[in-house]
Amino acid sequence: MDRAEKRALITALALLLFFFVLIVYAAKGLKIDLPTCITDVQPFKEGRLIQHAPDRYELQVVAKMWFFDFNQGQTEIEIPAGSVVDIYLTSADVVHGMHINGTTVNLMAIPGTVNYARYKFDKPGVYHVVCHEFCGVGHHAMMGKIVVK
Amino acid sequence: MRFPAPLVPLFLLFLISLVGAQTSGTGIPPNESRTLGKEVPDVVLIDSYGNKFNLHDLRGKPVILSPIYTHCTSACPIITQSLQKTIPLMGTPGEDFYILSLTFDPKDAVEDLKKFRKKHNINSEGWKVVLVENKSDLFKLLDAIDFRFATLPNREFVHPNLIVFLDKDMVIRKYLYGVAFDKLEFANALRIAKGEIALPEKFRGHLFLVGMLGFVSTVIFLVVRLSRKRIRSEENPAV
Repeated sequence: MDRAEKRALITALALLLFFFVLIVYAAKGLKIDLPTCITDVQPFKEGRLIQHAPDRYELQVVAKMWFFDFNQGQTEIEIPAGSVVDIYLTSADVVHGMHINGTTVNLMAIPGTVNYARYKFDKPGVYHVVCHEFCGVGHHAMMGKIVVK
Repeated sequence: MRFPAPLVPLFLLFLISLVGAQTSGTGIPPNESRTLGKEVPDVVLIDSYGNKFNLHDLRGKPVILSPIYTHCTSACPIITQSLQKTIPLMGTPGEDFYILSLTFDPKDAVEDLKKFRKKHNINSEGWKVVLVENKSDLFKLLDAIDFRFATLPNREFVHPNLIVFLDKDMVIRKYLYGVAFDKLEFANALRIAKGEIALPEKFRGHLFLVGMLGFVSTVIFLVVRLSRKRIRSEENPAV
């Protein structure tokens, strides 16, 4: 084999191994979760914010043209700092995105399925939520607000 | 062409890694790699007679934890019935192990537990239908076993179907999935909870890594082997 070819091959394999180790580290060491897609559930029709315990919430979000329904039509919700929130997201029409600014929550809203992520809101403040999947003429104005007190 | 001998163990490793792959239930399955081997928190439980006791009071015997909710009309009654069928074959609750049917519905009260106990005719001393007294503690316990549920209208929930085996020191040892339990699997899980761990179980958490390494080394082996062959045929075109 040509020497340059050999070097390229070895470099490629070394990079492959390096990134594999990084993936394992991200999953096991940093405990980064991938969003979970639930496909065997009938998606909810209306957004709901449910409080299970003083510091435990379940947020069911319906993304629609062109707003986020967090709680029966509300686009703004309030939760206490330190709350753990289970976020479930679905779409009522087309594909939307949902990114909660300043957090690792970045989900896609897909009609017919439910996406899931868990986040602990430690820092008080205003978390803006934006749609990051082009969904029509109102896309640029599609946003919500989570106020952590 | 003969199947190259060095590939055989690699192929076997790959097959083993497939066996270790998890089958998912409904809802979000727990991430076992983060819970196995960890102790569950000591929370105050209330049983269907209204008696309070600490979870860690049950130390000394394995505990089978069955998360359910009392208004369930589908999976939870079936899980409870399967347990009732399997348990007599495994031993006596209270003597060999404890069983806790734990409701995860934060709205359940002692009255609901009573109804559930009567409906399923659970009369054994060692089998209790319980709820966690404090709501925050309930979620501490559910987080410890990584049990996640989603709320539906009319007090229904989407949840994974499983039971958890704790050892005599309240450490999580094994999960069984589904609504019906295989006799052999159940016996094996109980053995693990009693501390008689079979060798494959110890390495179960590393199976993915082993399988992945096997896969990567197979690819490397193939690339090296094929490239050598090509060089040889280029050097000697007659062959």
